[in-house]
Amino acid sequence: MAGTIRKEILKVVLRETNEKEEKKKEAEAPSKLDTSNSTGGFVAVSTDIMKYTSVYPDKPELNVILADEPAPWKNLLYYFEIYVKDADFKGKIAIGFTLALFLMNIEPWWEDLIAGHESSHGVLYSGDEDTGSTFLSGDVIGAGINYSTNEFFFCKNGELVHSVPNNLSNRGLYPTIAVLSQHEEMHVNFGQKPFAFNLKDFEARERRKQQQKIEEISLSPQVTYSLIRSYLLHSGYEDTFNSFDVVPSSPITDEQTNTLNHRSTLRQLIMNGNVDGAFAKVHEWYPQIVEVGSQLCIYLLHYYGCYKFELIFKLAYEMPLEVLANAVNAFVLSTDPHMEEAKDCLHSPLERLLKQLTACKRYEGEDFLVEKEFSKRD
Amino acid sequence: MDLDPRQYENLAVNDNDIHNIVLSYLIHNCYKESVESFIACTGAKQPTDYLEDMDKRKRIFHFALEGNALKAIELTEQLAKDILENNKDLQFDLLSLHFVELVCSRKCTEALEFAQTKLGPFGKEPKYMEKLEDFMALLAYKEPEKSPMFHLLSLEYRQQVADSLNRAILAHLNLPSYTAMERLIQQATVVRQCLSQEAGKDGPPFSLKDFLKS
Repeated sequence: MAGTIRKEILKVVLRETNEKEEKKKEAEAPSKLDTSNSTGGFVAVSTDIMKYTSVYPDKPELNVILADEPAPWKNLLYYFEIYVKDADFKGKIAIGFTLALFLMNIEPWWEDLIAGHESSHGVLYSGDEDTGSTFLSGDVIGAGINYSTNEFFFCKNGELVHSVPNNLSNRGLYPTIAVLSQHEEMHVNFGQKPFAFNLKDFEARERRKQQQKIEEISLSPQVTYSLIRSYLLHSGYEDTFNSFDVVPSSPITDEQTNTLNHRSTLRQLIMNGNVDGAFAKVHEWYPQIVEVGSQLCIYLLHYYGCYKFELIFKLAYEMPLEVLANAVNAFVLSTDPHMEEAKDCLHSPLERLLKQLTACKRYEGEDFLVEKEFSKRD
Repeated sequence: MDLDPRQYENLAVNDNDIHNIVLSYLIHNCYKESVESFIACTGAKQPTDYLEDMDKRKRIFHFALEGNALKAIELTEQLAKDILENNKDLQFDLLSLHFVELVCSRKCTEALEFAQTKLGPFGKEPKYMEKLEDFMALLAYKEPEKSPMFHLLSLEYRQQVADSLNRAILAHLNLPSYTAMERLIQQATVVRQCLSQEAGKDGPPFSLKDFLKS
C-alpha cells in the first residue's frame, strides 16, 4: 500500500516540477454573419452589411442567418448589435442566440422563439409583444449573454429592455438574426465598432455584483484557523505550528504530529542546501523509504531524458530545494499507516483549495494569479 | 481540450503563493511569534508595513476576546481616536460586551446603570432597539447562560466583535481588512457553485465543508 502511494507521490512531484502550461488556442469569436449558415435569401454586401430580399414578392417569408462562430463562453458577457438600415414596413426582425443544428427545422419554433420564450433551441427577441413595439428603420438592437447570471439580455438604442433566463448550454450558441418580411438591410457589429449600449459600464456593474456575492459568504474563524493549522502541520513547520497551535484542536487525531519533528529537521537541512545530510537522516529514521533518493533520480533521469548514468545523482541536486523538501516531506508522511491516498501526503487542504480555485478559474477562461488577486488592498 | 476543473490535482501551485497566504493570515490575526518563526522557516519576505502596530492590535484583540471591552476601547482610542467615532455599530458592540461581562459577574445593578448611561442613547435608533432588548432581557434570568439569549455570552460572539474591531483598525491603517485566505475560500466557493450550476444535474452542489474533509 505505502509503496503504491510513494509511486503516486513521485509522479505528482515530477509532473508539478516540470509543468509546462500549453497556451490553448482561444476559440474564435464571431466576426461576421455567415450566408452559408442560413436558410437562404441573404446577400452579404460586405462583411458587416446584410441585405435580405424575398423571392416571393407577395408574402413575407421567414429567414434566419447565424454568425460564423458561436459566442465565446469563457467570458463574463458576450454581446453584439445590429443597425436596422431599412426595415420592411410589413416585416418583423428578431435577434438573439440559437443552436446551429436547428436551422433545418425552424418553422415550428418560430412563434416561441420570436416571443422571447424559452426554447430548447435558443431565444430570439423581436420587441415588446405587450406594447406591440417592433424594430424600425434607424433602430440599433443588441443581444447578449450574461454568463454570471445565466441570462440572455436585449437592448434597443443603447437601453437594456429585456432579459430571459438561459437554461441552455453555454457552448455552441450562435448570434442569430431572423426576419419575417420581404426585404431589409441591416449592419452587424460584432465589436469592430463601438456599441450603442455601454457594455463597459454594464460589465463593471456585473463584476461588482459578483464581488459582492463573494464577499457575502460568511466564514467561521474555525475554518480558516484549521486550514492554516493543517498546512503548518502538513508542511513540517514545527516551530511555527507550536507557536500557532496555542489551543491544540485535536492532538490525539493528528497522525501527522508523530513525524513533525523529523519532517521539520529534514526540511531545514534541505532548505539549507544540506541534501546529503537530509538523505542520511532519512536513511537512519525511515529505512523503508531509503530508496527515495535514487527513485527521485531515476524519475528525473526519465523525465529530463538524460541517458548518462553519472548524471543521475547530479539531477537530484539540481532540483529546486523547495520541491525536494516537499517531496521528502510527502515520502515521510507516506510511512504513516493512516495515510490512505497520495494526495494526503502531497498537499494540505489549503493547497488543494488553491489548486481547485486555479483550475476553476482557468476553466472559466481567467488566469488566476494569487499575487494579483490577494496583494490588492481592500 | 478543456481542463476539467475536477482534475485540479494535476496543477502545480507556487510555494511562494502559499507562503504569502499563510503569512497574511498570521499577520492579520496577530500571531506575532508565528509570523517571525514562519519567516525564518520559509525565507518569506518580511512585509514591514503589515508588522506596524501588530503588538497594539494584538493587545486590543485579546482584551476584546476576553470581554474586557473598556480596555479594548481605551487602547483603540489611543491608536486612532476616530475609529469608534465613525463606527457606531462597533461602538455599540464593544459597550454591549462590557454589559455582558457585568451580567456574567452578577453585578446586575452596575450592569443596569451602565446600560442606561452608555447603551441607552443608542435606543433612539430602531436597529439598536431590538439588540438592546435582547441584552436587557439577560437581567431577567438568574442564570443568564441558560436564557434564550445565551449566545450573547459565548466566545463566538466575543470573537465576532473582536474580529470586527481588528478589521476596522486594519482598514484605518490602510491595510487589507480581510485575509487572502478568506478571499480564497470565498472565491473558491462561489466559483465552484457557479460550475455546479452550469453542470446542472452533474453531481451534488459544492460544499466547502465536504471539500475540506475530502
